[in-house]
Amino acid sequence: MRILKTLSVTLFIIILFTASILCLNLINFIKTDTKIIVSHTHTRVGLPTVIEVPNFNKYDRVYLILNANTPITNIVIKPKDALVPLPLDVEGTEADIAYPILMSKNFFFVANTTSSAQLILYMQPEIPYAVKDFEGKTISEVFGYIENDKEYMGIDVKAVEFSQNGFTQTLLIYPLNEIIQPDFQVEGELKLLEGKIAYVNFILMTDNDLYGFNVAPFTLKSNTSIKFDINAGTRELFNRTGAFLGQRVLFIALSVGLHNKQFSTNETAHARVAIGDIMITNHGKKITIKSHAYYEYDLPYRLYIFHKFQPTLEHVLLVLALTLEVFACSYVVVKLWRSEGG
Amino acid sequence: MLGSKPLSKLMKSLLHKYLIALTAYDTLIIFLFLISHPNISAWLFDDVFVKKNGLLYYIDFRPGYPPLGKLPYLFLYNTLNSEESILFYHLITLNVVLTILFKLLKDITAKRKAVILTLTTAFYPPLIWVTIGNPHADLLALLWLLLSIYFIKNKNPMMVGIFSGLGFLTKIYNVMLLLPAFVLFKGWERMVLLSSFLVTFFAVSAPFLALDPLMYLSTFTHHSLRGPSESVFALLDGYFSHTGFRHPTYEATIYAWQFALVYTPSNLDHFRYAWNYPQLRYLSLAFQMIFLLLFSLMAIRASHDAKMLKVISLASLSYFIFSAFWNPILSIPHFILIVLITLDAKIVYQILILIGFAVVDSLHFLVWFPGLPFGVHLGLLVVTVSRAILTSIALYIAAGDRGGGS
Repeated sequence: MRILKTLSVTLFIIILFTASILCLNLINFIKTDTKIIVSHTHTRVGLPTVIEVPNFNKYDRVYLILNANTPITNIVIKPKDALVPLPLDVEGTEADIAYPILMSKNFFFVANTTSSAQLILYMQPEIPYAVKDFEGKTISEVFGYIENDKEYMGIDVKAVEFSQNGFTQTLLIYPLNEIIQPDFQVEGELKLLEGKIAYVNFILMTDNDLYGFNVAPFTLKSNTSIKFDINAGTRELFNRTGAFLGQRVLFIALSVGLHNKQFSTNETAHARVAIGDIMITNHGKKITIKSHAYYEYDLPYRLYIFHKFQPTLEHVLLVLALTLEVFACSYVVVKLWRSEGG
Repeated sequence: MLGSKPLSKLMKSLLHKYLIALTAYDTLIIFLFLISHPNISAWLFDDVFVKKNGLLYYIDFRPGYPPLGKLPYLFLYNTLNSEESILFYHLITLNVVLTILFKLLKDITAKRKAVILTLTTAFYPPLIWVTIGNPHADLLALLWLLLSIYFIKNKNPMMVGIFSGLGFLTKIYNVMLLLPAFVLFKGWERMVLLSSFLVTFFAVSAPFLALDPLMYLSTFTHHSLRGPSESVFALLDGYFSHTGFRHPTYEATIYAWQFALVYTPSNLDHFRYAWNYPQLRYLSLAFQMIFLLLFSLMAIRASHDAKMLKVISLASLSYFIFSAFWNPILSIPHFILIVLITLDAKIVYQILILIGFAVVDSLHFLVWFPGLPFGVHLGLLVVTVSRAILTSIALYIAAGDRGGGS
């Protein structure tokens, strides 16, 4: 009995000792497991923009985050196989419209080798809006457009894959963060330059609801302009009127929808839309979203290199030792308990 | 020809009656599954992601649940990849849960009451919904919770340690039972309780600890970054959304503290939450801890098994009642603990209050379906306040010993 008690105390001390070494090793790793580069680079549309990814180990994670109002056409990794991209998936969907990443464009890679690499970006013009797919899959290209000395921001949306309901929906999102008051009003103008739209809607986004208003119907012919004016009395697509009053609208969006039945099989399913300035009035305050596309701009980015723990032989042996020590100590404790009538 | 005698003999045996009832119940669940066709696969997006990208859970990727809560689904997805296989896994677990509950109730109350309460639990809508269409760890976690309570009642520290360990490895909340158990047991029993818990933990966790202990620990620690949801605390803080990892799935391939570096906390981001009133978080935690400790200490003075069971259940219930985090699935262990704390009440009152919870919890589930006349804000407000009122009534009933227990 006395021997067992001494053994249990000894084993307990050994467990503490092994666990401490293990913890110290892990704390030392955690201290230097992340490298963050917050920087910016000058970008000219049409020319590649290079971002250096320094010194990573195999299996490390590399995370590049850009603003979503600087759309990207393509990203190339040099050397080709140094980083393996992981696909975007938000709870089973490819749509990156979840609030934490609504205004950013995220790229994630797992290092396939221990080295350095370059990310070569082919950027589009900078615009006031974040461009995101909401339904289906599209390729969007933004551009500047001037007509009668008036400046527009244009977007060419090409459908790659329609959703099950036959639509694609591309959002142009702008952060607002205002509590909507009775004097709320949105005025704007857009023009269908080419192709066909199923709709263009204006959307108010709160923390858990959407309020949509049709601003351009599917009947809109190409080369036609349309002006819109939305206020507290405008009826919504869901047949509500003024339901958004008093709500905190976090973002506003213009959504461009295409439908597969509008296009024949040999026709490119696309729409080229120009958007003019948008004027918002709320609580006596006026906000203007200037429609301008910048072809040369400063590109801010955040690059994270997250080191991944790689087990050494010492580490595996420590875990094995700790496990065996716990088992042995437990065996002794149960013996002691049983010997006392447990 | 078989006469009616052997059949009536068969019916007379309690075990056989129980098996026949269970078979009828399972048939009903299967029928409901067939007519509702729930999209179970939609919940398995992380299993799809890890399989497609050649990742390993707990080594390359931290899922939302510990290994026993997650790996059975991954196994079913990788091997059978059918919604029916998940239904059968759930049905087996649910049958064991109901059996343990019935046994537990039969040991401390009248058989008739045990039958009625087990049946009430069996037809509790969120339990049926989870069995039919929600591949999460909650049914298995419930099994370990009930087994832990059962062995606390039977004063077996080794089994309590093992089942609390299995519970912790399924859903973290099961670990809280260790506290009342530790207070109840004496001397070497306490050491047996803790050591059997640790043995269970290390037996399952050793491979993951050896290959990437940081990813494995992140599975547990990333919950500390989360905000409130669907609770009184969430509504007081102005958060009217639900839970879920509304982030790119690949962000689960970095450690929890690395993930925290990417995002500035926000009151819109459940997984990297900034409280509008940070005091609420500590208030919730303080209430949980104070009442867990208080009821654990009260368990020492319990004069008989039924009372001890009630106080232990109250200790566990403290975690749920004061949790800042809620969702319709979490109502299930809460409901069963309500069954256990109100055992002293007359069966009519008990059934009425359980029906009240069933209605409120079903309404809570419906809040998230579009097209209801009330919006999310009002819906959540109604269900959280109603639940708080019902819980207060249940606690009032639990506070008195009205002699309806047997």
